Amino acid sequence: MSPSVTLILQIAVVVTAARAFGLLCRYIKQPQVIGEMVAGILLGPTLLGWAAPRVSAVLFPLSSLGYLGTISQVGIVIYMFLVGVALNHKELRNHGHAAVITSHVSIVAPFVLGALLALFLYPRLSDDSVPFPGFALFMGAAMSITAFPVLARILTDRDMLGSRLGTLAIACAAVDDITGWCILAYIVVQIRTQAGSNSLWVTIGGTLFFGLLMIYVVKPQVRRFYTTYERLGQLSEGALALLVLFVLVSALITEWLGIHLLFGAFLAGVIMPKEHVFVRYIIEKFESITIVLLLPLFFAFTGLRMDLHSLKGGSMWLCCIAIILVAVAGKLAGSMIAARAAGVLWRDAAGIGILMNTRGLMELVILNLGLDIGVISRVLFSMMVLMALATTFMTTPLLEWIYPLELIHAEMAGEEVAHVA
Amino acid sequence: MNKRKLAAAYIFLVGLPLLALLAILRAGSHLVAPVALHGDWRVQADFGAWHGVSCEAPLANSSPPLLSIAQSGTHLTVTLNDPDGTVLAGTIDGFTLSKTPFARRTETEFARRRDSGCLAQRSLSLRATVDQQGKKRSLTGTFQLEGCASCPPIAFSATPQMPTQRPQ
Repeated sequence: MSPSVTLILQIAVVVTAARAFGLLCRYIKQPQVIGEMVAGILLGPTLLGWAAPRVSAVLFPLSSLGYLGTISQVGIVIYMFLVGVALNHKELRNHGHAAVITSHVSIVAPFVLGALLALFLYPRLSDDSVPFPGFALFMGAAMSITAFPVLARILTDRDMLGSRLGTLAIACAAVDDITGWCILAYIVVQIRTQAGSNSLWVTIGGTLFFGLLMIYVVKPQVRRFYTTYERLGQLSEGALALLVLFVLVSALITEWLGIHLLFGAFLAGVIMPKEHVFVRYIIEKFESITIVLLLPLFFAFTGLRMDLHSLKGGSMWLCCIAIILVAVAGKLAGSMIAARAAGVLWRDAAGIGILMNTRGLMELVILNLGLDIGVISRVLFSMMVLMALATTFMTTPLLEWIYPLELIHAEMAGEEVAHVA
Repeated sequence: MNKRKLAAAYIFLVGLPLLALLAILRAGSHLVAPVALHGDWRVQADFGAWHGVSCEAPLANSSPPLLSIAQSGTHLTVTLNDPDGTVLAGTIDGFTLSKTPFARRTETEFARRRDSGCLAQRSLSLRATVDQQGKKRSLTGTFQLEGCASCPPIAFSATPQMPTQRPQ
């Protein structure tokens, strides 16, 4: 088969599987993205490669994975831009001290527990080409991330986006993501400069300069997109092309500086105007093709890199269980205790903890990045993907248990009555 | 909640864990991880002694013979570039590499081997020592075809084909 036929066949199979599993997940009241993640994993060596190796070899030959990886990378670049667009750190200001302390603890607690777990995992699942600090910091960052978009989707599905709990969780997740990606940028710089691909000072100095340039020079310029939108009610195709170009150039600059394409795309999104209607317009313009086509390819690419059969023996499964437990303890319990300490009621605090524990797609993005830069091995990658699935999967049932829909509706009605009064 | 209590909570929940993080990083600097072996290794060996045995000998007809090592801590998976794509699994014990046979062939291929009179029980084992001089690493050891009385162990050495980088 020619490479283009193979690629089209791959896309057809991946999109079909993603839609099928996504619908199945909706049926069991789980976010669709979980089904898409599972579909990607099942198309890899974990199921298809194991049960039907010949079919797998025809469908996903090694030589074709480069194309699939590149297209999925483009998808993730656009997706990270959209995540940045949707983030609004100013929301935190509306929630006072509770949000500040909760968001900071929800980063620090899982981060420290992740680093603590690294003491156990480093001699077992790493090697001496990775320095301990890089490994520990990566584990910490991977544990502390929250899937902002999945969280928003869960809240929307449950009519909780406008609730006190929902807005607090969204604000904390926004801070978590910005902080998490900054820490990750530092880790990537550290690892890459050790590998000798760039000078440390060029990378750090260049990144700082680029960040300041984006905030103080480019940010006022990109507001023109909003003023154009405000004037015309839409952006012309030329303006949209310019916007895509802006994202790609930003991504390329951060890659050239020695961090990663994704940081540039994310930063481009963060500095975009935050007016609600404009954010909604941009997301609607880019989201469909990204979610329907490009993200499933990323999940499939992730699944092809993951092999659950590589987890051999009780000790490896023990490590996997330890990772899941530490992830839940750090994020769920850490956020819950912090929110309670800040004066939030126990039920709301538990809700915050459950929501912040959603890792979903963002975790997969970070894990792929870790595998790319060689800071984690394939076995650890597989374990962490399982953790991402487990923590995302548990969100909806736990939330339903703590916060039944009737209670949410009653609270929302109560808040409205109080507001009117 | 008053500001004093909030500050105390912040110090307790954020400040102390950050100090703990510093302690963890300090403690971890004494940890020793297994030696990095992942990547492709070019094998130098004389497989002549295995020519003419009743079954095909792994790597005997590969040019150049290569070992592709995938590593996760002490666990290794070694893929040979022979026509069968023989896969071995093993562990690092200190600086010694030992491999046990690990068949990942399809049932059809196993059947073919039995039909053609090959010894189905025959397996390849590999034992090697990692030599380290500065940043340069090399492997020296032996391949052994177990279950084949007429196949002597073959000594080999291997050097990284490229600078060691984890395969994607």
